[in-house]
Amino acid sequence: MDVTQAITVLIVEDHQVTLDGLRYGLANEPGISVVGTATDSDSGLKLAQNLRPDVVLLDLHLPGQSGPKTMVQAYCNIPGTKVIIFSGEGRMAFIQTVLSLGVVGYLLKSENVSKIAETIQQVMAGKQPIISQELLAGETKVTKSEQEVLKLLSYGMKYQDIAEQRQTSPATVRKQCELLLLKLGLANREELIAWAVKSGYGDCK
Amino acid sequence: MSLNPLLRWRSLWLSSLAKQFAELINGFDIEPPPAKSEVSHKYLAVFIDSIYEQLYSLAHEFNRHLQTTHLRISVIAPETTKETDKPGQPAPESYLRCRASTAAWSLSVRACKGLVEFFLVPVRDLIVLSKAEQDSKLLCKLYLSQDGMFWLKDGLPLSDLEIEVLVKDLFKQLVLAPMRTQESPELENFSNLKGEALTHAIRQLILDKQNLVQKIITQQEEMQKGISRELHDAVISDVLMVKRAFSGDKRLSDEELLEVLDQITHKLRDICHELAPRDLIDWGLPTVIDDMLQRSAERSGCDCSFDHQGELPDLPQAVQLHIYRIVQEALNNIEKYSQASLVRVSLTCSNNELKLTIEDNGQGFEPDKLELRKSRQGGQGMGNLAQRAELIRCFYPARVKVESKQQEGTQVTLEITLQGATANF
Repeated sequence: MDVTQAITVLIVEDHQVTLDGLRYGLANEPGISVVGTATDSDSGLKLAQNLRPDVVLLDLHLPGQSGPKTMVQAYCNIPGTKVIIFSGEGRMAFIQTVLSLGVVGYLLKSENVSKIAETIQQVMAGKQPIISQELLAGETKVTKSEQEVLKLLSYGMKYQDIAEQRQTSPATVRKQCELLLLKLGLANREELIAWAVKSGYGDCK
Repeated sequence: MSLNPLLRWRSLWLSSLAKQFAELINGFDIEPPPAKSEVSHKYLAVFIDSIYEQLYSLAHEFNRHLQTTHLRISVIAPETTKETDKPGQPAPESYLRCRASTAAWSLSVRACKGLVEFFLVPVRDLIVLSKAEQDSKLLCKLYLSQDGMFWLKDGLPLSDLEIEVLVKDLFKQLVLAPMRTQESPELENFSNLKGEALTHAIRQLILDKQNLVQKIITQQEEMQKGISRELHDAVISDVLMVKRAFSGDKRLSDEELLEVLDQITHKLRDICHELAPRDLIDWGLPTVIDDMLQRSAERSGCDCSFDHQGELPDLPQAVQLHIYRIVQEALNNIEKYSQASLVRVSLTCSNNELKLTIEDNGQGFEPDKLELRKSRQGGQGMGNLAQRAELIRCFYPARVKVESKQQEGTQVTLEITLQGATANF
């Protein structure tokens, strides 16, 4: 195996068994090389700054940190390093906040090693953001307010008009659309509109 | 809030009466204080007059409904009085006054130079004004804003409607005054003596503190009971089920087991979420409010959305917690009672003000009937909102407003002034 070509990965995870499992699991994946591990956020950050790995696999809740938000921010600020979050936190509002900080992937702890390896390969190939399939439960998780937005989108309305219609701000509509893209696994607004039309939202009422 | 026709007619009649009084007052030879312009003094007179009018109509209404002799209320029209000389006080001032009295208590409104004060005093003390209108009997204070356009309470301007609500509340306190615990008579007699007044104040403070401690402990106990109940009902039974699945003969399949475990995780997380807003410290208000709303949407299927504008300043942890609880409480009320299909939460921050609104399009309620519902259903939601706002006032001037119309929905508004105002008047 050509080590110089391999993607370098740093794992920061406080749960020892999970950490070991990840380290051995990823070590067996071709093209991936685990260059370091840490069990708390401060030493992990130092290590990341020294090693400059391609990818940091980061747990969201670690001992010795001021808060997940500031921690993720600090990791995302390391030049040349992409951050994938590996966490049990499955609530969308929090995931959205984390993604807005600049992480490229968000995986739930229920994922297996091969999926993690696959994600690492994908983000290195430039695809982002990638989030766990489980979170993209498709149409079942589309809330009532999102359905309304989809309906208006499929009428061909712009963010500004949708915001006016719904008596909210364009920023909120944009945020809802971004969340929809994530939930539905779509890439951009055009795809979202196409999806809304195809799914029949334009025919509602 | 809608007036019934009779009331509307009466208020029309009263306002014409009020106009006459206004002319009367303007006719009074009030020596305008040198520092203040004539305009604001006139404004003061009109303002007192409107308060008088509201008191009058309330008293009228009240007397009509309650034909009891001991609670009959009379209202005296605004008049100007000169304060008698008090030892150790600067020059006496002229005050504009009006009063509403029951047999034993009097709600006395006193106004001068951009300041209106409301006192609740025993009628027998009224003869000696300096004794009657002491700070300890002060219910509420309004200041005139710098430009003379608004009345301020706790540093925030009041709308006409709010003044009406305020006066109603003060009136209620007047009516309920006989029910208040009687102050000990000996102490009252000495209240003009400094040393004794001090002792009394200290005693009162100690008593208040004891009550507060009692209240806090009771609340803690209640909370612990709640946790234990929820753990027992929601979690233990599920865990036992998993246990049975491993020991009994009816084995669960892996999928079923995973589902049960998921459920347990979910319930535990809900309990944690309810209790310790760890998330709030970690993620900040906007994210947590967004999350609360998304969960509420999942439960109720409502069209919920969250608007967040402006950068949230660095608020003290306690203030964030109270805001969080206010949202939680309001959303709870919406889910429980409103049958709304649309919920909007918005959080707007400018450099000087934070405004939070929680709106729904549900069935709403009549504010008057809220008291009734409170006792019937054992809820205390709206009262809690006011208490939270009160606690925020330890840091910033803050105000919470609950407006509701039947069949049109409810709007809860919290406003906090962040700078340029002292925390407490």
